[in-house]
Amino acid sequence: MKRILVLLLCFNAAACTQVNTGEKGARRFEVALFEGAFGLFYYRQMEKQYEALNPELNIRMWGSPRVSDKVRPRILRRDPPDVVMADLPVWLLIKGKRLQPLDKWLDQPAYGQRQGRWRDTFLPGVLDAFTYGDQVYGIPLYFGGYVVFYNRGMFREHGWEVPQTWAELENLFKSIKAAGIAPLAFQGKYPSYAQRIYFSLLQRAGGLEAIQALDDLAPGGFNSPAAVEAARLLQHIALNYFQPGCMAMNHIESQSQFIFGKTAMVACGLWLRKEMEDKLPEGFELSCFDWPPLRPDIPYCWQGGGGSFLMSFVDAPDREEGVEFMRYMSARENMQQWISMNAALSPIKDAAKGLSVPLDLEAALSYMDRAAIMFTSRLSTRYPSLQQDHIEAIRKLITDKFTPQAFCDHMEERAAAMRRDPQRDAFPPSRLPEAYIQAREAAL
Amino acid sequence: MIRLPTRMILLFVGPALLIYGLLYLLPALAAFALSLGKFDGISPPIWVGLDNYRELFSLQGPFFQSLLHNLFLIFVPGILMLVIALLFAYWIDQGLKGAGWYRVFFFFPNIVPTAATSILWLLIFSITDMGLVNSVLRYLGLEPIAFWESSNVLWTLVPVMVWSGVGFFMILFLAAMSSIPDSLYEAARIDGAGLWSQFIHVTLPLLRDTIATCWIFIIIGGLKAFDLVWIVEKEMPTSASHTMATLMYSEAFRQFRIGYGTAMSVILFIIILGVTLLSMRVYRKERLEY
Repeated sequence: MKRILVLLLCFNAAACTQVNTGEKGARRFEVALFEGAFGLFYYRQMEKQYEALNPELNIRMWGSPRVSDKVRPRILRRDPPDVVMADLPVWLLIKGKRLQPLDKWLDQPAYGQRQGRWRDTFLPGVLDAFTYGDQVYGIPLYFGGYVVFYNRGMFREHGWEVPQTWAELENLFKSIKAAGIAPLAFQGKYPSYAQRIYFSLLQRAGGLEAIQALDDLAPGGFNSPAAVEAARLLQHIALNYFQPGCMAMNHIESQSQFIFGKTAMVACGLWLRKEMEDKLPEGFELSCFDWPPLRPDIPYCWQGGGGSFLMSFVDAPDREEGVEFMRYMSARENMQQWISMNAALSPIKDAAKGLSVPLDLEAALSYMDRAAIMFTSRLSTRYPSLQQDHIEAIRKLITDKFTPQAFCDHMEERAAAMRRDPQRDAFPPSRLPEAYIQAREAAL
Repeated sequence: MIRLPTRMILLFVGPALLIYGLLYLLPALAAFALSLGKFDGISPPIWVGLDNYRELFSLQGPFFQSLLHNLFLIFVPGILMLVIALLFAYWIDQGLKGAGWYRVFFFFPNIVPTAATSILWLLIFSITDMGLVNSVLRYLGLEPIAFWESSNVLWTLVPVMVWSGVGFFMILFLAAMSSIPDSLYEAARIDGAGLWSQFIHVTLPLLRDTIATCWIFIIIGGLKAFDLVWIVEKEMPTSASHTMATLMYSEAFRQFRIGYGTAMSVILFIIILGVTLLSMRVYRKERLEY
């Protein structure tokens, strides 16, 4: 018995020694990631590199396409992973004081830097989506925008040009149709893709002010003349130029229609290349353009911003370690690996400099340079149920079950009901960015 | 009869009652309490009284529409399933050649998991070149049909549900038919009844209890309809396809309106309870003796 006790004590002592001397695995944290179009390759690479730099660290990294469902119960029982990338109700988490503000770290230098602030290494505006009340709650690793993809080879073959005006776009649609090809593939099972088109058209019709009117639930925002015009254009495109039967297709099916040449274009986020890379035929010249302007007095803005946001929680036990890892992943050198591995843009300034990027990203970068600002709607994070109503109403609009005016009036009614709700969350009114105001004045 | 002391009874029944109470009754009561509040799952709940129920019972609201979808999924595939199952069972019972094989063949879809069934039929009715039905339509020079478009989903699910459910009801009917004494058919034949008359006047009346059982299965299954709709709608049913269960899940876990979602589950519970009580009443009626 004595011998067993001594043996147990020895084991215990050995275990304690291992913990106290900072050997491998002594410090640990957990990272839970959304496994989407980009997979986990980049994150696994970062995990390997970071562990090599910090041998005492043990990162428990896992990913899943259903990470939100898996993480949600852990958030509720106050045992969240230390770093999370998932589609979560951000505003509710902030309001419930569950998300960790990252400003303390963002005001320190970026990884590997001695000077400057981490926050200044990001492109202007990309932290906005996770900024509430002047505090930042998430940092993006991806930078994307919504565009219209086309096959440059097919365009060349038919003599089609990238449209610069709305009239040219209309002519392009007609030429494509005349050639016996459906102009646009559409991910009909997910009408939120049409919502993105709607937001772009709304910006073209009413400027950033029209987008912010929706975000702020401003009276008359949902049925303003610009909103009706955008709805009219979206319905016109859907009923005349979407591929017939597209409402029964999911994203992969419809995007495959584009890749296989059954349609000439598809509206999508910049992740399309990565999502469809296994299906892209040899020599397919994937490129993109943005929806053309509608009014000369409205400056060009590109719908896009940060994505793949990483966040941490106030009750995550090892969040300090987790945030350091976020800082490491967003270092400029590492972001260059991100661009190369994922054929995607990065939210870090100059990360793509000196790198050769595919045609579509090159085109996207040119739109980014031209844009007065990048914009993104905040309807989904502020008002999830209104966002759901909006998507449903858009489905009815593009299937001709709503007229443009009825769509706008329906949404205005829903927004008015939300405004009347005394328990609704009130947000400070949106501000127009300085760069936008200057561009607007210049356009006038 | 031996009478056990109350303490002894409690000793035996107590643990089961305790587990039932903790894992079933308590959460059910908590759910009812939650349904009277506005709760997002993160912030503390706010008491709103019957507001959630008021919203539910609005005729223009999504709940009423989803209830209609449930009724559609109960009655349209239900009637078809029972008629087809009855016919198959009758043929097999009549000693059709290879009856054993047919039993397996018709019952097989019932053991295929719903996820696999959904994927199989998603492909069969796909609008793309992979879709079997649309390929045939194209071959015949007809326009393809967007079967899986949200507004067509409920109709498209009818053959899927019939395919997967008919075997189960066929087995129930077969079991019931095999217990009908031959003497009744013999007497009918002596009275000059043909096959059709025998079916209408002997078989069908004696299957009354089985048909009632089948309807209870169909109604409860239809009220709970979730997985098929959820999968074919890519986890995003619309107002054209939501059932009560998918709407409840979407509201509670996608919109974070847990109070509203729970109110729906309370109503669903009451409806299913009503159906169950009704079925018990049907069984309590005088049973057929033969």
